[in-house]
Amino acid sequence: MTPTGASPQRRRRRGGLRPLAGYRVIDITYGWAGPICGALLADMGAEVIKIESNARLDTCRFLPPFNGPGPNRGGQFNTYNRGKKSCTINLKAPPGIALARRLIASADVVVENFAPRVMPGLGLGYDVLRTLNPDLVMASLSGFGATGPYRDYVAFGLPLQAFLGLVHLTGYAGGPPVNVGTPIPDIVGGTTGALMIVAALRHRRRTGEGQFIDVSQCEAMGAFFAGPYLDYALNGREGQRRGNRDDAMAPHGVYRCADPEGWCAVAVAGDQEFAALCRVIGRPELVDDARFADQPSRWRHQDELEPIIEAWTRQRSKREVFLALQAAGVAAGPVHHIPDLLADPHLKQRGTFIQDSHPEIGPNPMLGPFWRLQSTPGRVERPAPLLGEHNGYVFQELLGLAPEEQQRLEASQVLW
Amino acid sequence: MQTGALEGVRVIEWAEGIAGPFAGRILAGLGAEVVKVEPPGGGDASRRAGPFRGDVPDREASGLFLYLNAGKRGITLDPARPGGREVFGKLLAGADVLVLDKPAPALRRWRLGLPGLQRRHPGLVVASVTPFGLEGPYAGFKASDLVTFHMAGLGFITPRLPPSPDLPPLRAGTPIVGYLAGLNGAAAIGCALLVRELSGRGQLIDLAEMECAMFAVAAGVPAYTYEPRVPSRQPAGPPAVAPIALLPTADGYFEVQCQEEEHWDGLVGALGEPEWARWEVFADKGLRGQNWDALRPLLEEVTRTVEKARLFREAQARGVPLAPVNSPRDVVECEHLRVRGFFETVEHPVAGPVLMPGALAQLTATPWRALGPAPLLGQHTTEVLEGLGYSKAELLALRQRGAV
Repeated sequence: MTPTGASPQRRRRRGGLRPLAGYRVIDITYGWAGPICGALLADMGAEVIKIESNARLDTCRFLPPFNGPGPNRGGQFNTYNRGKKSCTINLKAPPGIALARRLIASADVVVENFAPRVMPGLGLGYDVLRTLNPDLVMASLSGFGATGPYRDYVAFGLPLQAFLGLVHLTGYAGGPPVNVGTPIPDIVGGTTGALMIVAALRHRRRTGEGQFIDVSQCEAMGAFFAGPYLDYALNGREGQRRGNRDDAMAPHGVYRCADPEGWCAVAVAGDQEFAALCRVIGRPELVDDARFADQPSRWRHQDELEPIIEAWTRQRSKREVFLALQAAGVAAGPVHHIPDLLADPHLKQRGTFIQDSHPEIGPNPMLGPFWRLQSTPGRVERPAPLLGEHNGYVFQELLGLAPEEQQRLEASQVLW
Repeated sequence: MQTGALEGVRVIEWAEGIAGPFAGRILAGLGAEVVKVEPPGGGDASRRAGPFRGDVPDREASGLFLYLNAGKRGITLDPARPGGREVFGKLLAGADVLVLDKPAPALRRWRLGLPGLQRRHPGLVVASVTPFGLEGPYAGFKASDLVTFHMAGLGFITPRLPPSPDLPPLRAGTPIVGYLAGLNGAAAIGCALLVRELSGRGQLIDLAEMECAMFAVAAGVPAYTYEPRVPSRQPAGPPAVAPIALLPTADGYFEVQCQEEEHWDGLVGALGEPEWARWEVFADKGLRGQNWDALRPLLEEVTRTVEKARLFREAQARGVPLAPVNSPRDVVECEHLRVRGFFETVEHPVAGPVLMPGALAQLTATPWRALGPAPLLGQHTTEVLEGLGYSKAELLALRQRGAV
């Protein structure tokens, strides 16, 4: 049962320049949070091997957008699993557990995002895995964390927005609570997992010691809401929904522009910016208007100020509004949709999007690595894997199974 | 004794607001030693942001500042001034990481351009965190959280399912882009430190807040290139899967995400098995999506009669991803978070005891450090400069020149 892959140390010396070159990560994840964690580590050079199975497929393989039928054409999956390898091990079959253990014994890191009881229940808890691989770093990402009264509660990104107070705070003035349009707690949970794994690898490199990391998505994202929580702790306030407006800055909103679905955000911080805004919109006299004389006055008279600004923005495209205001030193920016982002000259110059070349889909753009380490830049080495694409590599090269043995295990749905 | 994962890492943070200081806070929680450089006079902008106890502004007692800067030492220093620049250079000579948020043109104007800085400090990890990055046509542009949120594409798809059509794009109810950038910044710094341990060399990290936030909309790219469809606030048709929705209760709202059939079964159980739930038109998640307009009012009629806390318990007991729409009070008083020790009280000499979020994650071998109070403005200036070898007389001269 000795793993046949090169030791992490040997692999590291052979590895390229990327920060995590030579590290092997076993990724037993689904949905968004866990996969995102693995994808970020892959960007930074880790070899990330995803364990999947037809017995329990990653939901995102079958969630839209699709470019066709089958498990390999789901856009959510392909976005957040880039750079990984895939092998199919059925963890519901006991021989599958044995294979997973052998694979983990050859690795440096395990990341998983099941409910906290699942991995121990499979015989893949940290207590077992550390006996196979004493310096293993294992990150467990869950909605509420591995301990505490809610440890077995299920949480996905949208209900977590609600749980944390983000939904309560988000909405139009006087309107009902609403969601931010993307399951942001999953992004934050996955990114926090990657960060903690990197930190734990530094510790391991210095001391030889591995560890278990308990990431509660709830707590990782809860850090973002320190402001509202402190306002409750200090003042008993519960926050309120106020559209795009700010607690202090005014004007602070999005304004309709001439292009269809065109809006531009404008945020004015002080008197100097306000004077610049007034000059640009051709209303320099407004600075002498008592209603707009200082920030508190402007804040009180936002209802009157906003239509004045919008009368000007409606005559122009969002890009014209953006560039004219920025040229005058006013914080402003167009409300971008995806095609805007793909065409944006700033992002083009920065190379923010890269070309993905997925074997079933062909070339299409993808957000590239954005932890921009200039001497050791990240890279997306391969598109998201086809289901089981790397079975041969994993089972024969890394685990030393004979091809017939692999076929036998495939036929008995252990590798499936 | 257990140490932090970043024990021994010395960080200089010359950054204000949320993004850079949040990165610094995370590094401190992981065991790094962080010295915060603030502009003489007013200090970090978040000192003016609040929330303040009783709404009384006090630069030593802004809740946001106290949270973001807990556990750091603080000095006042203007690296752009003669004298100040020299002190800054000595600080960097003894540091491993610099976190900074100044735009490249300003740095050049102050004769602190990044290429020179890297030449003088080849071992230093320089993490620049700016709204749009150091390069590109928008590099010097002004921003705020509202602007980067909308430019990153988050506003165009917010709210998910607006209460009525034709409402404008909406921001998150509290800033999130700066925090995203700080989190990614800390992770990128961790990677650069791993490289540095092997090569001895530092490097420049060019983090753009906008790009960090774009990762949250990245799955919208295939929506456009595969289908093609422009993801927006308005759904293009019936949902693919249902129910994934905010729904009313007797005392507020809750949110449920029935991604799998077992979730729906659990929800139906928690709601007392209404007979319409077994109608053929709602037989699977796709059908429930197609018939969402019919299903929603039926669901609401039942959910309006239950309390959100009870529904949360009943649904979670059945494995349903469901949560109440909590207010900040509900979160701060949450029993689960109390048992986990998430909120901690930090004793501050001016603000007194302040309750704030604590650990970002729990690491068994290298636990997150309980962070002490945020520094008073300039609290550690003398201590830090004396540590660099400045005499009392030299310190006085620097103070008179406005450099510290």
